Amino acid sequence: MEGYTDVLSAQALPPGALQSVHAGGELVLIANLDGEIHAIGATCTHEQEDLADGEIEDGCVVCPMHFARFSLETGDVIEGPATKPEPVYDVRVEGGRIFVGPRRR
Amino acid sequence: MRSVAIIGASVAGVAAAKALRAGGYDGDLHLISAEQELPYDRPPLSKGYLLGQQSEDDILLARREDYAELRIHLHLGAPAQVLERGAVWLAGGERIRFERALLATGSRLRRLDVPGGDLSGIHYLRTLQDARALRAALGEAERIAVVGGGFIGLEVAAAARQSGKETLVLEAMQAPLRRVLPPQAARAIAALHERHGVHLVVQAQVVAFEGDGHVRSVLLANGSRFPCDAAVIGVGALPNDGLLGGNGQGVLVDKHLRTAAEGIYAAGDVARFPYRGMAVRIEHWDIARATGEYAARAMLGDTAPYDASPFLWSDQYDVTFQYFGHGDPSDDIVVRGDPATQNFIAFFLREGAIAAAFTAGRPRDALPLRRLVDQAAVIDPRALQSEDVSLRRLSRGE
Ligand SMILES: Cc1cc2nc3c(=O)[nH]c(=O)nc-3n(C[C@H](O)[C@H](O)[C@H](O)COP(=O)(O)OP(=O)(O)OC[C@H]3O[C@@H](n4cnc5c(N)ncnc54)[C@H](O)[C@@H]3O)c2cc1C
Repeated sequence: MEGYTDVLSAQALPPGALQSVHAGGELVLIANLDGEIHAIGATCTHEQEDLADGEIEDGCVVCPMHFARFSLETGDVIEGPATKPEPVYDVRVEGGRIFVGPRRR
Repeated sequence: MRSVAIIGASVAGVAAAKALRAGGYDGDLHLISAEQELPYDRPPLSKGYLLGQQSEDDILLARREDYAELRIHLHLGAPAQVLERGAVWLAGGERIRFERALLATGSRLRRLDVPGGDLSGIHYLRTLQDARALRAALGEAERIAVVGGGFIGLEVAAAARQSGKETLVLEAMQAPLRRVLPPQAARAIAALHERHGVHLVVQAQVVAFEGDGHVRSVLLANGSRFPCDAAVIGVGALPNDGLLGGNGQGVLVDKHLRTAAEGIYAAGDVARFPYRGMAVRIEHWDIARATGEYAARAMLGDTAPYDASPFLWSDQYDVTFQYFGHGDPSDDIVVRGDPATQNFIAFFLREGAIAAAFTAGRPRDALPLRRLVDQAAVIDPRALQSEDVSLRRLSRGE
């Protein structure tokens, strides 16, 4: 899997959990949304808060600082104060490990 | 519904306009602003923008092309002057008809009416125009006097210190923020500023500014005099409620954010809304956004009552404070953590239930705290105090 970084054991990320990891020089948020793994930027585009300190709600990650919401699927801002979307990364689960790939958008 | 006019194009007004379109509203949409600038966000004016870390482009609430895309008629520099049933008159003489209107005129600053109050070098901070002037003054001045130790005054003081200025904060009460915060938290904030080299003077009543055209010193009632070459006044705000004949108390709305005037809603700083048996007017960004969006949904037929808890944040130096709910410093206060380390939570308990929480340095607890306040949870104070008890679990009833 060229271009993919092994970041985390899948077991370490139960449903509802968030974790920020380094991959390809970026801080990436890995989220377990009801068993599906997503990867978007981990730094809130509003004031650089670590989104891993937030929570998953309705398919979004909610920033703990000012409660901006980003879609885990598309990285889009669903609710302010942030105005810029998060990047979205390819992510794969293989052999019980989570791998982060290239940026999708 | 074929026409909506939103009066005031700031946090509440822009949120409402976007929410109307997001909710499928397809009719005419007028967004009316007294200001000349494209609508921008206010909190950065005392933070990133003032420090030069954010540009004017960075703080826009929406880009120019977004308004075209959303088919929002933006009327800039056109204060509404008369609001009547079904129509609003703008300063230029234009009359805009509407089926529904939203009053989102926000608040304006209280002026400090003392001799010398109009010397040059004396600043207020509410608008982008104010912030441009203050940012320029921070570049030139050496000694800054901040009058009023509220959140905005303290943020300006932090920015002044971070720009290497000699900074004085003059506060009328026995500690900054003492009207809103319990003593432990107010003391912690005062200590934070003193540690950063702010000269804090409490029980200070400013009676005059002195200077030769430009401000040179500020005089207190007790006769003390402090030199300064710029002053920033932050002594509270008043609602812009005149269009509906308000008396400075804000515009009273019901739980659907409807005013007494037919077809007219109010949101943001100008609105006084029902919250847990009180009628409150609270000047927080998040309430402006939430009530703006809510009013849009109510216009589109949503009948759920507005019942979100207030939320405020403030950034000072590298510390972010968060405040959930609506507490009173006379509530029972229970503290988790150590205020002196800027890592703590102060719970406000009223009849045993969590009415509010003020916190710093604990981002992981933020969403749980918000839930606990929303629930008005009743929890053993010992559990609230103990670091061994997870707030996330408490907030989920576990
Ligand atoms: C410097 C600063 C820092 C802040 N920091 C924070 C913070 O960190 N956290 C937080 O929670 N809150 C903060 N706030 C408060 C927050 O910005 C306000 O609660 C919020 O802006 C209120 O939004 P609003 O849309 O109700 O009204 P406003 O932002 O007051 O805007 C109202 C708009 O309506 C316009 N208007 C008034 N009358 C008319 C008329 N007749 N016709 C047309 N237009 C009219 C005004 O010119 C203005 O543009 C801060 C405020 C300031 C000034």
